[in-house]
Amino acid sequence: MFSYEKMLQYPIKIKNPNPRLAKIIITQYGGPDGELSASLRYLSQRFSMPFDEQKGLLTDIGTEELGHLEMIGAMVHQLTRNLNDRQMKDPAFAAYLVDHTTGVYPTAASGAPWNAAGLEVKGDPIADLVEDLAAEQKARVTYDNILRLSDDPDVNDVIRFLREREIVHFQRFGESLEQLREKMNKRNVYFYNPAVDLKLPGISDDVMDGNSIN
Amino acid sequence: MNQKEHVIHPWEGIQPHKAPLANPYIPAQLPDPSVYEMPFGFIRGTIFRGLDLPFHGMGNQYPKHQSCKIQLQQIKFAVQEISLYLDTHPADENVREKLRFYQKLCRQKEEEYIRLYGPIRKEDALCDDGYSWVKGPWPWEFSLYKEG
Repeated sequence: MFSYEKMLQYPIKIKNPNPRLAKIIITQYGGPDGELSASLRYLSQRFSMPFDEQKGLLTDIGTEELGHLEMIGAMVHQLTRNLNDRQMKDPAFAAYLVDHTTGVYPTAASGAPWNAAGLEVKGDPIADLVEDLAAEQKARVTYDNILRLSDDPDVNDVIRFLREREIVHFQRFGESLEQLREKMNKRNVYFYNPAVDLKLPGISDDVMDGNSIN
Repeated sequence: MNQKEHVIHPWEGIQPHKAPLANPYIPAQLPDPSVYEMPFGFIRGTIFRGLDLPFHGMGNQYPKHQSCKIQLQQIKFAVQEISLYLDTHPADENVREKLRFYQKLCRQKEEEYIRLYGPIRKEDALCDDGYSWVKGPWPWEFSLYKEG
């Protein structure tokens, strides 16, 4: 079950509205490497994980990503509050404004609406964890690029925090992959998919551990 | 024999021991890793020195003003960060002890925060002046106050 905690993971106080910057940052809300994709990727992948360690890690990181989604939404909201006439008519923001006013809508910076094609649930723990490693790297690079484009210290303070989380998550996914490997066939980790093949006749513990001939 | 012992730095992991071919390998973080003081770890986005790898070398420098709310956010962050570490290092007793410490601290600080500023979750006690759950500011709103 999920229940709401009325508190951000990290404080956000952006003094100066800046719709141009909001239009860039929103890519981490609804872009392919954004926090919505991240949370859905992990929280969906966990259902087919065969072992407790990966179920736990995907739940914990997926939940944290939901908190990051809220943080990005908060930044977009604060950057687009109390806009004056000139800010509303900023050509960089006008296309967003005409469709969504100053509502927070899941879209990439390019204008492409959020799309589940930006994430993958393959149902194979190695494939899914490798996807997660790549996803964390792509999100890290997106935050790098936001730091290239933004000169607002209130924004950058939060972006640096979020960027570092991607690095920590990458490390944990890598370690989790090793934990998984320890439970699989030692000689051939691609011998079977533990998400579906553990209950098949002939797949015994010996085969799992790589003790029998294979 | 004049062999110098190899010094292990926080940014180094355990070397792969006969890592399998055709498989990605991320070295595991060393047990009982070196950590920052909480207010500094919070602004860096990690409590672990070895994982602190900022873009262009520019991480946040100045810890937040230590209000009740910031302290609670810091403690919650420590709990999250340590939990993720334990998800992949469940046998590390030193870090398990750290988790117990921050869990206890978290309960105390939450109590203080709720008493001062209202409920964090629906299950928390309401303040005296009516149904305080819906009372703003909500977390995403801009506010000049130090708290709230």
